[in-house]
This record gives sequence, structure tokens and C-alpha cells, in this order.
Amino acid sequence: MNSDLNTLYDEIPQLKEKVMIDFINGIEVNDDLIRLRKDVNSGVKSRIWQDMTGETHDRQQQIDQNFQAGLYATSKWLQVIESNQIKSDLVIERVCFKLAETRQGVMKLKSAHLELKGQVESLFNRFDLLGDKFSKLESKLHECDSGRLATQQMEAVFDKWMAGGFNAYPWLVRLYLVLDELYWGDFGFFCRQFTDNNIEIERLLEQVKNKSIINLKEDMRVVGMLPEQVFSWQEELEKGVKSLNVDRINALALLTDYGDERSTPISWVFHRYLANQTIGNSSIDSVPYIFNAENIVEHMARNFKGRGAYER
Amino acid sequence: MNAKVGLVLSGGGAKGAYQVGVMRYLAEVEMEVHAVSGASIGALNGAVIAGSSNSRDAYLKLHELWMELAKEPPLKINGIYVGSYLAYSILMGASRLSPVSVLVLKMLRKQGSKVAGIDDFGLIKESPIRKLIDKYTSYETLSKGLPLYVSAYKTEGTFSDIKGTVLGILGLSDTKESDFFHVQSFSEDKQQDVIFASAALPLLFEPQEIESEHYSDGGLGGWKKSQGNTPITPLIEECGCSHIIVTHLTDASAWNRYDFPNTTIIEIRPKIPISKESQVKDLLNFKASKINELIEQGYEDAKRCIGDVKVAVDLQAKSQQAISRRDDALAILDDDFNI
Repeated sequence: MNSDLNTLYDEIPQLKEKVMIDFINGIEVNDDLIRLRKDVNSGVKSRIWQDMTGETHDRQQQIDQNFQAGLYATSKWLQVIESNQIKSDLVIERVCFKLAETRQGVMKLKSAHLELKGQVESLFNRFDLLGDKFSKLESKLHECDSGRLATQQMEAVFDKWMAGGFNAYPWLVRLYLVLDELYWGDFGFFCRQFTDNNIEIERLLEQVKNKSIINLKEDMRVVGMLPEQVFSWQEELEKGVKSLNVDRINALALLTDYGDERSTPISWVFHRYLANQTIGNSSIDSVPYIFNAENIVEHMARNFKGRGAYER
Repeated sequence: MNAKVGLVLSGGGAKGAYQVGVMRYLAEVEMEVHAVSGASIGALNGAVIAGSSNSRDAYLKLHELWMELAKEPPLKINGIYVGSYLAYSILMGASRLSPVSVLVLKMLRKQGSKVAGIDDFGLIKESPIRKLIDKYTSYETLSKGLPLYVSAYKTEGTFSDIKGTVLGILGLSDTKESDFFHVQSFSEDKQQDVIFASAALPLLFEPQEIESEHYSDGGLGGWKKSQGNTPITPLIEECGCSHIIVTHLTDASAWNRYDFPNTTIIEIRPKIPISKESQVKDLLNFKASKINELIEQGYEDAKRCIGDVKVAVDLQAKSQQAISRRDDALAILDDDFNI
């Protein structure tokens, strides 16, 4: 029935409108006709006259037609409404179905999202690890570079010693100055910075000690001493300092003023002597009176390490 | 809605003021018509509407015209003239029964009278209406305006026309059907004659000559079904109007919309009686108070009859839109949806 109705509407689109207008406007027409008939019915003469002329029957015919058209329109209208009601219900059902489908889709999407989130988090963790590795690598590279610079500085300072760069100072003071220059340069920076890498620092310090012993023995030989000869550091210092002018003595005193009796005893005693031109009578337990080349280098190296720890 | 809207203005003498009210409503809702047809006073109103640029212009002109009619009633009937005229008509009617009279009539006609009959008589030769119509319409405006059709009744003599109408009123026989004329098809000098032929009420106005025939009030034709007085036919058959607004100037008009099954028709019918006094007085009463009352009534009836239909049609259109949107939305929903 509905398809018939739709076909009819497709064929004659104005029919739907015409049926409706006949229905609505027919009510007005009926109103007019019924109103007059009421007036006519109220009088005997008018009733007889209208019956005689046939107007009553004509108007009744019109009312009947309007009534019939109205019923037809109502019937069709109800069919259209019913048809659309059915269609709307089916649409609602379809929408519900699609909504359920969408909900399932959203759930799947959420699951996929969570999985992806896990993957992303894992990726972030890997990135963090990679970052750590990169930082370590960078630190290692920096350390390597610093180590290389430390070695270079060490070579340069010892070359300077061998070339007579410190000859203006007594041989014992030279050893101190060499270690002091190393302390303030790349070598000292490396030793202070990379304290975790003790092996490398110890290796470099061992190298410094060996080179120092070699150079020290050579300097001892030059001043007429035997390489294995023992000496009193106080006497050698006194002898050496006498040959220096006041400015150099003051400069050396300034260079050693950080000295501490416990952590850097060599610097401490050197400073006391240079500042006062005498050791005095105080006892110095941490520094032996007699050294040979190996011992003095060993104590100087400890002083170097102690200075680094003290200043950190 | 691609509708071609026609407007039918039926006849009813002074009750034609009702149609001013109808135009007021059309102007108010900015509804334009594409063709007009009229009978009698409806033809005169129709001429003004057809020559106007839009419904508002038409309403303003009609209102002005009817206000002038209220100031100067177009039909001042002299009682002595009416009595003399009726006596003459009866005499002429009776004379038809006399063989002598018939012979005299035949002789007069043979002697070259160009008039259809010596009994073609009008009490009023020049009505102020004619001057007013001259003022509010012109050949130029009508030529550029809406197609205008008028109905006119081919007269067989005033007495014969009256007799036919009386028989129609009594339901004993029907008058012959009126003819319809497309006004713009006539030459400049004939257009007003055609319009006035439609309004040439027997007894009051002389019949008008159109294409060698004499015509009087179009409302007389097809009395039983109001064929001439409600000239819808040319709007359907010649103009192809899909929607037609019909204004009636009688209570419970016998005109039947179901005689035109393929056209959408909106009838404007009176809610309260449009006939206030006797039929003759209603035709001729051009008093200002009556005119204003009828304009108001026409406006209210048009508002109700067209308004109700408009509400229903708008509702229907919205319903169609909603259905269309629902179906479109469903079609989109039915597309493949994959996550």
C-alpha cells in the first residue's frame, strides 16, 4: 500500500498537496454551505423555495463531496504518517545498530590505543636508556679527550723540564714547580674531574712519578750528586733558595700557601720555610728528614693528590 | 513550490469591495498571482489587478478606487426611470407573443438597424465606474500586465436574458454558458468594451458589442453551476495555472471545486453572511460603511482560508524536508564504517 502511495506521489507530486488543500479548504466550504442551510432550515418559505429550486440538494451534494474528499485525505494522510512512522522506527533501529557498532569500534580503538600507548612508553624507556648511554658515551669521550690533553700537557711539562725551562730554580724546587704546573693544567683538571677513573689517574701519576725520578736523577747528577744518593731536603732547600732573589722566593711562598700539615705536608713545610726562611724547631712528623730521589717523588705525588682532595 | 497561481474574482456588484480585502491579505503575505479572471465587478477589479506591478500595488489602487466609489456612488437609480423601464420591458416581452409586434420587429431589423435588438436597453449609459476604470487602468499597463480573462454573456435581448436568469434561479432551466475573453488579445479601443461587457448588468447597462455580437454581464451564464460568475476555466485551460484562488461574493455559492479535479483550488468563502440586505440592495449599495465592512470581511476570510492552507502546506514541506534529511542521514550512516 505504501509503495503504491509513494508511486502515486512520484507520478503526481501535486496530488499530495491538492488532497491536503481540498481537505483543509473543504472545511471552509462546508462551513459556508452548512451555515446557509441552517438559515434556510429555520424558515418554512425558504425551505420550500430551496427545495423547489434544487439548491438544497446541490449544496448537500457539495457537502457530501467535501466530506468524502476529507475522509479520503484523512485516510491517505494517516497512511503517509503511518508509513513514515514505520520508516522512522526502522531508522531508529538502524541507528541503534550503528551505535552499537560504533561502540564496539570505540572499544577496539581504546584497546588499540592502550597497546600503542604501551609501545610508546616502551619506546620512551628505550630512548631514556639510549640517552643514558649517549650521555655516558659523551662523558667517556670527554674523559678520553681530557685524558689525551692531560697526557699532552704532561709530555709538554716534562719536555720543558728536560729542555731546562725550570733551570732558574734549584733542582728540588723544579720538581715542585713541575707538579704545580701539572696541577693547574689539563693534567690536574683530569685528575680532579674524573675521580671515578682511578686506574687511569694512577697510571698517569705513575708515569709522572717515573718521569720525575728520571729528570730528578739527571738534575742531581748535574749538581754532582749520585742518582741513588740520599739527602736532607731541608739542607737542599736552604742551599737552593739562597740563590733566588726575593721576588722568586715570594712567588714560591705564594704558590705554596695552601699547604696543610696533614693533607699536603710538603707544600706546608715549603711554605713555612719560604715565608720565614727557616723551618724552626717545630717537629714535622709527616715529612721525613732524609729522602732519595724515589722517596721525594713519592711524597711529592702524595702531596699532589692530597692537594686535589683538599681543594675539592 | 513552482506554482502558477491564478486569481478568480466572481461577480456581485457592490460586494466587489470584498475582493479589495482579499488583495490586502495577498499583499500582506507578499503572494503574487500570475493570471487573473473576473466576472462583472470581478472583471473591473481584475483589470486594476492585472495592470498593477505587484499585489501591494494592486491593493493600493483598488482601495483608492473603492474609496472614490464610496464618495460618488456609481449607480444613482431614479425610481420613475426604473418604473418606466420595467413597463417597457414587460411590454416588449409581451409584444413577442403578438404576431403584429413580431412583424414590426422584423421590419425594424430589416431596415438596417445594426443593433442586435431594439430591446437591448440600458438605464445607465455612462457610469462613473467607467471614468474610474479609465483612471486606474490603461492599454499600456494592461498590455504589460498579467493575463486578464473576463466572462461575458451573449445576450439575446434584455428581456430574454432576464427571463433566462429567472428560470435559472427557479431551477427550471439553466442559462447558456458565458464566453471567456482574453482582454489583451483585443485592440486598444476594444479592451474596455470587453471588460465592461462582463459588467453590463441587464437593465442597468447597455450590452457591449464584441466581434459583432452583443454581450452583457458574464455572471449570468451557466447559472446553476456559477460557470460564468466564477470564470476559472480560462485560467486552467488557456493559462495552465496549477493553483487557483477563487473568491466568491455569494453565500454558499453553488460553484463546485470538484468539477476541476486536476487543479489545486483555494476557495475564499465568507465566514459570516456576505449578503447584508436584499440581493438587489447588496448589488447596488456603494456606501462607505458597507465598503469598509466588506473590505475587512474579505481580508479576514482570505487570511483564514489561505492562512490555514498555508500552515498545512508549510507543515507538509517541513515534514518532507525532515524525511529527506532523515533518509540522507541514514544513507551516510549505512556507508562502510571501519575502525
